[in-house]
Amino acid sequence: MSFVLKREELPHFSRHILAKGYSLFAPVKVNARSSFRKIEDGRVEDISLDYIRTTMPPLKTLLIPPREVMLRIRDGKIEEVLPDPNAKTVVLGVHSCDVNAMNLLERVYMDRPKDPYFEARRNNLIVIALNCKNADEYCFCTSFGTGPSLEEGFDLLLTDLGDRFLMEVGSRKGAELIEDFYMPKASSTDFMEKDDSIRRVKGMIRRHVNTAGIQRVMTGALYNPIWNELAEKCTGCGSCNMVCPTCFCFNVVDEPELDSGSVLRTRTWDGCLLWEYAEVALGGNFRRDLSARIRQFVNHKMNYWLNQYGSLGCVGCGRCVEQCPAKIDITNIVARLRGETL
Amino acid sequence: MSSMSENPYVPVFAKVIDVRDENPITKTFRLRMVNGEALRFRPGQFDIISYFGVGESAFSICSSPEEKNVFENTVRKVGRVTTALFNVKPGETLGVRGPYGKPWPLEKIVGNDLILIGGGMGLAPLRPVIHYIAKHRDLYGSVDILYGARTPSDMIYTYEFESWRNIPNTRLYLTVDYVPPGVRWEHDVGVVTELLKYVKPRMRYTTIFVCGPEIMMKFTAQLLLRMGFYPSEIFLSLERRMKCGIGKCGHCQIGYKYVCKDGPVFNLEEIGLLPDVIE
Repeated sequence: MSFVLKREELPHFSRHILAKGYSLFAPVKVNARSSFRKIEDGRVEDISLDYIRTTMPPLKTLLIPPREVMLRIRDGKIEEVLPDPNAKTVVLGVHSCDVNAMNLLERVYMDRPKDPYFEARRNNLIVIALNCKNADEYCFCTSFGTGPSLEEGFDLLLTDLGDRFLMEVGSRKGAELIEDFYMPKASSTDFMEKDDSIRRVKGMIRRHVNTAGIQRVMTGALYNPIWNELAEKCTGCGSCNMVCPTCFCFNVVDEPELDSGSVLRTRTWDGCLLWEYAEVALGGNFRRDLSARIRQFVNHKMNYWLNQYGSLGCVGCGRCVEQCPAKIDITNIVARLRGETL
Repeated sequence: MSSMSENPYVPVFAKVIDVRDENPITKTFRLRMVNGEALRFRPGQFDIISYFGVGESAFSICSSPEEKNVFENTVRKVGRVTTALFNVKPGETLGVRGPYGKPWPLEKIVGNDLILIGGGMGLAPLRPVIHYIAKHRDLYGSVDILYGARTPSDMIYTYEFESWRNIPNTRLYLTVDYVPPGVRWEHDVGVVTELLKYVKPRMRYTTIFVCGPEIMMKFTAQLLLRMGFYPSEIFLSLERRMKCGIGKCGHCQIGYKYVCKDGPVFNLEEIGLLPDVIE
């Protein structure tokens, strides 16, 4: 079933979601950029679906919070600190690259044994995706078939048609969310306009990764001098890890909660570009050299993921390219290794 | 190990029932699960021990797999968690998760001769193999144990060496890098690979298990290949940073392998071409 939501009814639709008791996350403008924020106090007017890319990946940030207490240990008892099973959340306006990245995270975290924290949040999450209306010089989702539009993996899917949105239903959760919100049915004209819009966005995407036989290319380049050359520029800051929607690594630390006498076993995001990532006892470090850490990041996305989880680990969102302070560009690395650049 | 919780990150409590000094910076902790269950493990697997308030660390389970209700971990004081563990006394309670990982392929090599090569703390994951062989002596051919450490006082399990030598058709060769003045030492001096001169392997009927520092495993593997062993006959137990033990935290990856679930025991054939290992 597909419907039409008039643009001016978007706030009304958002209020409908809030009225049903969901927490609502949606993009809002923050200092000229867009960021996914919890929509509090019915401030649905703040929602702005005109955006290309948020700096932080919304679904990773919701499903694997940057800092998360896993266990509380007190008086010889271990208490699981699981997400509230009733905390149902809707995230509105997620682009296709990020929805596909969530599907990749599911392969890691829902692989047995399942991660109960991820699972609880995922089960309570409704994703209202948004096909892209614009692209910029960093986008390269078309290389991985992960955008700029979605065919599946969403609960509801919006396509911006100017004065209205086409709303497609992708799951029972999605259907239930709108069953008591009246919208007129979509027509074939709406779908024709959707196709035109997606075709137009595809034409805007200039960046590209040639994925044909990419594993052979990457494995053949493990000892290429390019990694040492990149290490001259890279600062090892780990920004690429943090903004990547498929980077899933975490560190675990025990934090004392002094006033309660508890220990909080807490996990935080970690990244393979960081020096401590592969450090072991006595100062041993299996990736002491920055070149080895860059090689790990690029090969994990463009090579090892395929062996581990059945698809490449990049969705072409462009965040690592846009955010790198050294202007290191994963698409250019692959192109150079393929001999496709000068 | 079954647990009340479906949550794989929740440890169960284990009581320390004995602590043995191995050497000035190494202790072996004997543990029993408080819930009375057994940690059913196979030689080569590891567990993750919690010192609540400081954190978790992964250790080879180093006791006999035949012991059903107790298990042991040997801990060298090298970091935050191990330093905290070093002060733990019998009667205190720790957390434990596991067992994790792929064990040594003892079932697949029944009938073969075995060469066990350990360096320093790397003897820990080989000790359950030795205990297993002692109990099931007729399953394997001749066994040579080659053990090297920096100095005589860096060795672990020295109190068991005599009983290992008494296992039928089993020999134990020892070497150290350095003998401090005034220390009595009747064995070899030099790197552990030099002990291979004492072994006359029946080629194609011999399997080798190696564990030690990565550099020691590198030179050992190179020498074994020069001696004519196939990579498929050489098994290594690797160490990497680990935060979960279940293939989620990412730290222990080597190429497309996870040390925690695809290892820690690897065939040289499967890891020989991966980066960041034995390079």
